[in-house]
Amino acid sequence: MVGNNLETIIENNKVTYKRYFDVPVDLLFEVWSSNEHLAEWWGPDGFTLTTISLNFSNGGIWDFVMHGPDGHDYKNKIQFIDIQKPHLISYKHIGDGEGDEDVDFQSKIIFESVGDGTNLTMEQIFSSKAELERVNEKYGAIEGGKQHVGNLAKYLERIK
Amino acid sequence: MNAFAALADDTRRDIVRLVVENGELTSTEISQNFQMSPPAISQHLKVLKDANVLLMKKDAQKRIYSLNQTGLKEMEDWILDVKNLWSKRFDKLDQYVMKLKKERTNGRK
Repeated sequence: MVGNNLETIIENNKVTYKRYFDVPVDLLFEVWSSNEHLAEWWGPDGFTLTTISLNFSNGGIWDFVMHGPDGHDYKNKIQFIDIQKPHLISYKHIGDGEGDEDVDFQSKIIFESVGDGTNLTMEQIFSSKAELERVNEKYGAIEGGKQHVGNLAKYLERIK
Repeated sequence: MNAFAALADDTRRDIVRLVVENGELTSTEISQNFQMSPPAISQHLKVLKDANVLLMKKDAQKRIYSLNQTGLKEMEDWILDVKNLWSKRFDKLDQYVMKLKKERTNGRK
């Protein structure tokens, strides 16, 4: 597909993604901040998105449903913790509205201007296997063969 | 506790590295490499065993630890799954913002 310049760093229980987008920082920030924009790109292929409510401000909630290609609905609720336009969006998942299980999964997105483009850094901190599995379930089975990312010695070197 | 949480601790990561470098080690041999008391190390070893990071086999009075490939492979797989999802999502985001950029540039002409 497109030139994928995604860099991934794994340390402890945190995964960091870095990617360059060839658009100004204001535009990249803008598409995270409104329902019309999010509906265009948030869902994986085959998914559609319905926003129940979106309050894009500190402490505000984004309550939405993703409709999977298999007819399943996946409820989501996100709370914005810290928004600093146009440089930072930090949010946590506060449940899927379907269980009383505590969700403990946080994301922090940092936007940095570089020339005419923007470097996006996203940090995800998760606390449990169950959490990751739930995230995966939200999007149905993720297709594609899994390549082995190398032997353990290297892996442990990376997570130092 | 799961593998991620188990490995979030510095001492436990050092233990795993030590085991990886040596292939197999007894709990006594592991303890000798740390300042911590043997009971404290035993507790860490229990966490690593329960999280499927290490395997333990008993040989008379000895407890011998080695790496549990299954647990670590699972961990790598979860990370890859989440990475794949975001990789695709960022692809879509990229296409979308490039489209917007083009539209807005044309709109200004």
